[in-house]
Parts: sequence; C-alpha cells; structure tokens
Amino acid sequence: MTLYRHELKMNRMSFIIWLVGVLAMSAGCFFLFPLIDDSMADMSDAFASMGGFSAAFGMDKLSITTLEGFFGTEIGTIFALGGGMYAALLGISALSKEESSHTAEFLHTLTLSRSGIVTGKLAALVTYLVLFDAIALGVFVGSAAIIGESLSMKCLIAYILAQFASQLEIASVCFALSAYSKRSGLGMGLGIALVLYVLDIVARITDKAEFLKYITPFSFSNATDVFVNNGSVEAISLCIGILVTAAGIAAAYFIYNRRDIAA
Amino acid sequence: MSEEFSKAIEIKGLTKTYGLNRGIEDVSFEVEKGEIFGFLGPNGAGKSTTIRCLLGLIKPTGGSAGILGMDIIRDHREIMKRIGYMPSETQFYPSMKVSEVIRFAADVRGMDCREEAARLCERLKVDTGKRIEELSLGNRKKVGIVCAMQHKPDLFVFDEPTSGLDPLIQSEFFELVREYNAQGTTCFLSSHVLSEVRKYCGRAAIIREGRLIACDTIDNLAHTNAKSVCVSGIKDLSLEGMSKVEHQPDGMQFVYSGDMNVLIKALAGCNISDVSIEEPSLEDVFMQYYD
Repeated sequence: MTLYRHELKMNRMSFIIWLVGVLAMSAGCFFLFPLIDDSMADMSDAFASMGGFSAAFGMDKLSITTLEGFFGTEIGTIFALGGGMYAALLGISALSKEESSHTAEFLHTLTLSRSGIVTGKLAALVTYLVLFDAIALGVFVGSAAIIGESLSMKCLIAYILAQFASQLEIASVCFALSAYSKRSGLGMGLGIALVLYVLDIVARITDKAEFLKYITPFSFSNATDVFVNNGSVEAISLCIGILVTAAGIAAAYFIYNRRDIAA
Repeated sequence: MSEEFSKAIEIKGLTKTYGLNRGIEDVSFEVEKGEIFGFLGPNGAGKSTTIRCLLGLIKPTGGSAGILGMDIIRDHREIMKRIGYMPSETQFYPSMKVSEVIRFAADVRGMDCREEAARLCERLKVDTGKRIEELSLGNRKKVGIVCAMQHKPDLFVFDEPTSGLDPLIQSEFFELVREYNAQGTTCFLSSHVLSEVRKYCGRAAIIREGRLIACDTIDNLAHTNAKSVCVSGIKDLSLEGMSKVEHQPDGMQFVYSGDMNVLIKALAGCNISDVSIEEPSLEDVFMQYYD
C-alpha cells in the first residue's frame, strides 16, 4: 500500500500533463464542431468518397457533419492516440525506471518482495488509466452539452470502456517489457503505440491486411465502429486483447521475479 | 526462523557468473554475530557482487548463503526486515524531500522510526527539508545512512560507506556504527580503504579478481614473516625472496621474505652505511594480496 501511494505520487505530474494535453485537444475539437458543421455539409459526400483515406478514418461509415460522425472520426482518433501513448509510457517506465534512475537498490532492499513491487506499480498504473478515462468521459459529455449537442450515452460509455481495454493491453505489453529492461525505453513505448495505431489504419484501408485487426487494440476500440454498431465491440479482437493483457501481466511477474536487478 | 544462530553471515561456495563479465567464484566465509567485519578488495574485485547476492538483488549461479540463520533466497523478505543496507552509489527519488524518503523507507518497513531518524539526522547534520536532487553525493550518503540505521537492524551491510563523506562525517559514521555494535548490531562493510578497516574492524576478508584470497583477524592478516628492509650504501643486492625492490639515491629498499640468515650474511660482506629491518606496514602486506 505504501508503494502504491508512492507510485501514484511519482506519476502524478505526468498524469496531469497527459490528461490536460489530450483532453484539451479533444474538448477543443468539440468546440470547433459548431463552427464547421455548416461549411462541412457540402463536403460531407466528398469526405465519404475518398476511398482508402475515408476508410482509414471511418468517414465512409459516419457522416462527419453529425456530432457522432465528427466524434467518431476526429475526436475519437485524437483521444485513442493520446490515451494509447500515455498508456504505453506508463507501462514501459513502470519497473525499468527504478534501474535507469538507480533507485532500484534502495527500493529492493526495503522489505518488498519482487511480486509486491510489480503489484504496487501495476495497481497505480491501472488507477491512472481508470481516472484518465473517467475524466475523459465527463469532459466529452460536458463539452457536448456546452455546444448544445449530445452523444448517445450508451455508445460513449461503450467507447470509453473499449478505450480502457485497449490502453490496458498496450500498457501491459509495455509493462512486461519494462520488467525485462534495465533502461527506461520511453522511445520504444511511444513507438509501440504508434505502430499499433498505424496497423489499424492499414487494416482498414486494405482487405488483404484485415488480419491486422486481431493484432492491434485500436481496431476494437475504434470510435467510428463503436458508434456505427450502436455500442457493440468486435468480440474476437476484444477477446484477443484481453488475453494479451493477461499474458503481459503474467509475463511481467514471471520475468521480474527471476531477473537480476542492475545497480 | 531460530534465534539460535551464531553466524550473522555464512557464505558457502558462492558463485556468480554473468556472460563475459567476471563475477565471483567459490567465495566462502563467515561473519560472527556481533563483530565489525571488513570486506576488502580493489575496485571490480567482486565486493559489490557478493553483497548484491546476499541482498537478493542478483541470483547466485552457485553455492549458498545464510544471513542471521536464514536462507538468502527463501527468506529474502524476513532477512530484509532485519538488515540495514547502504549501497555505494546511494540514489533516491530526485523529486522527493529528504524527510519523505526517510519516512517512505520506514513506512515500507511498517515501522515508526521517527525518533531514531531524528536523532540520526541531528548527529549526521542531515537537512531534511531539502529535495534529493539538491544534494551532493556526500549528503545523499548521509540520507542513506539514516535509512540504513533508523529501524535499528540486527545487521548492517555497507558497501563502501565512507566514499564521498567528509572526514568529520566519516568519524561520526563510525562512531554510530560502534554505538549500534555495542548494542549487538553486527556490521559488514566493504572498503578499499585499508586504514578504516584496520581502525574499526576486528576481522576482514580480502577478495581479488572474484576470489577470496584471505579471511582472518586484522592482526593475523598483517602478520607475515616478510620484512621491510632498507639499506644504505649498496645498490646491487639480489637475493631469493626479495620483492618490491626500490632503488634510492644512496641505497635500496625491498620486502624480504626469504631466509633471514642469508640476508644477514649477504649484508655482512658489503660496505653498508645503514640498515633497518622492520615489520612491513599493513599497506605493504595488503598490496601483496592485491598484486
């Protein structure tokens, strides 16, 4: 419990920065919507018929002139990418930062077991992701109300839950890498999040790469899909995501309990 | 766990190899309960590797070790409750205040050590209001000492405790070690500074290139039949058993470990102006182990 509180404190600043950064961009887009929806009306057909480009951002499925369409294609993308990157950074630095900043000897020679350290850090990570998504949900609902529009609550909640699952999957894979690595690996974390995002786009553009949707969590947490399907999420991708999440966490415990800790 | 142990540390054939790096090989020695034990060796000899094995930071590839009658792997957490450790490169969370770090260490241990911590901070002149990132190495080490001592452990493990500390704090540190030791705390400290080991430790082990080369009382380690010889008037003496020969403007100096009669007879035939044959300094003895 002491370690959990300590971890929350150590990560508080980066949480606030990412939260404010991502949500400011998302909310900003909400406030742009009333300014552009009239002028976009004429362009809507054009946006929907740009082939692969439209498919990549879901503009072939939802009209960008409705708030749901705008949320699905623009805001949902920004939030997914921001949340994914934040989750990756949280995960990749969680365990390895103790060694890269040379605090591991101090932490490990108190009375904590290796598993206890993993659990404390994992609990703090999950807490921050839950807070991140819960606050985002509030900001989305509030922003929509401010501009006099509304989003389907069912779809929005389903989207946020899918986002949480997606972030948790990315974070747990990075967490396992963090258990293995002695370096902080922030670049690798961001890289993983971005590559997974690109894989999702590729899967959407071409049928030949459709299998990629089973690899990247951005597929099942895609805002357009959630809104088009009235709140239901692609089950197979989600199940794979949950399995990968469990495997990542198990691997972290396994690796960290057996590894030599660097000075 | 029994209290019926007499050895604070018991190491049997401890080996740690990693990749191409030399670790330690077949290290065995014992530290008695209640003693102040020195662990000497040049940089890179394996002192820290041995200590890090004992503390469970790294897993030995061979051998076994016990601390306070418990197994270092199986009883890791129990052992940690009763150890105070200070690493050679003490580092804490940079953004935390000194007082927060000291408190955190006590909280993780589930202990209220405020009284003892305050006493130690006073003795070592630790500024608890500063942030870790503002501290020099020496001041960080002082925080490390407080964290290692505040829970009044049964065994101290210090890895090069005095490096970076100014002489006043060094002596205050050893004064504290002596006080805790008088109350029964065993102390195991590594060092490459011979004088402090000689001054404060009763026994010592010497490690070189990953192997233990000696373990004995300081007196016995220093005692050897080698003599330090200094002659004036001749410069070309050469006998079996001479080592560390140094030529000087009017004579020579060397360490002699051969037959004393041979040396005396050889000197008798020379025109010498002065001679001294004495116990070698402890430094010389240790240098023999080091070389």
